Amino acid sequence: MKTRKMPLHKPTRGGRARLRRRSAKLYKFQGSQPRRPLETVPITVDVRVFIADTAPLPAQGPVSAMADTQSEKQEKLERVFREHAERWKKDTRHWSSVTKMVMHPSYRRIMGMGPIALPLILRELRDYPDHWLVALNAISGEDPSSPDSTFEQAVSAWMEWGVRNGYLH
Amino acid sequence: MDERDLELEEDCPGLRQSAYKITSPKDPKYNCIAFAVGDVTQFWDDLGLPAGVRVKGYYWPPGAPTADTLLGWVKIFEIHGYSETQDSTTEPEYEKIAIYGSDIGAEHVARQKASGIWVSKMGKGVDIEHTLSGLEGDFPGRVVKIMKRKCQGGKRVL
Repeated sequence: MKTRKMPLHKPTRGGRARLRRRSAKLYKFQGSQPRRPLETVPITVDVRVFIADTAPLPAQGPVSAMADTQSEKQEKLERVFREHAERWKKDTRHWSSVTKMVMHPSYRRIMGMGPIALPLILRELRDYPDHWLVALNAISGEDPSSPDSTFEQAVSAWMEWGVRNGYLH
Repeated sequence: MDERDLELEEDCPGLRQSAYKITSPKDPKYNCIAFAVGDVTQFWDDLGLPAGVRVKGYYWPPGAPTADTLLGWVKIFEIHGYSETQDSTTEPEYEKIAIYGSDIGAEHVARQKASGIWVSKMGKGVDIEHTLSGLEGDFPGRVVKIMKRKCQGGKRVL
């Protein structure tokens, strides 16, 4: 015959009669309190939708905002380039030394822009030939002219290089 | 040609009080050193680069000291047969050049014509005729060297 084991616990003082008395006391306390009106509590629900890579991106929202940012960045880049190019051209227009021209702070600033400045420099060189050969050489690491080329021939070689590499159309 | 170049006068204030004449359009293809030795197809400069390192599109005679120094400019004209003189007056059998700048560096060079008038290529800008002292000022400085050579075959540069 199986014997049923009783749970071991510490016997409460007063037992069930005491619990009943406490419940009745609590019920009486709650009943005496005035009822509060229901409050409206704003809550935020974080709903995340996962879109598979193959799903088309939404037409509005984050994508257009990103495009605006890119466009603004390009505008700012062109504005900064234009300001420095104009300052450099004005300050060096009667200088005979290219060594000094390329040490001008605006020229150095343009070289510091790196590859993103290449299309701007090439367009500037095409429209207003000036001493941009050093900047093009420094940024691209290339020199497409023939060894004994004149300034004019070097400009032509850079124009061809710009078209070949998709910087000029 | 325009009679005056206000941008040029702004940069070379000496020309404001002196007569000069513009003789060419602006052109970045050649500079004053090239013009002085009779070359209007190349821009003469070594860009301050070490010997053997070049950016194509510029010319500097091999072995000449750097274009960054007055010595470099003097050497260029010595290679072309010029020697130093103190005399800037016109001598029918000689052609002369004048280097402007300071004791530490050269900024510009002009060439004397048979008439005694001086001609210059102004950086990337125009060619002008001017007086020797008329160009002196904050830029391009004062005349620091005059050099001359015998006219070759009785002819002058250009």
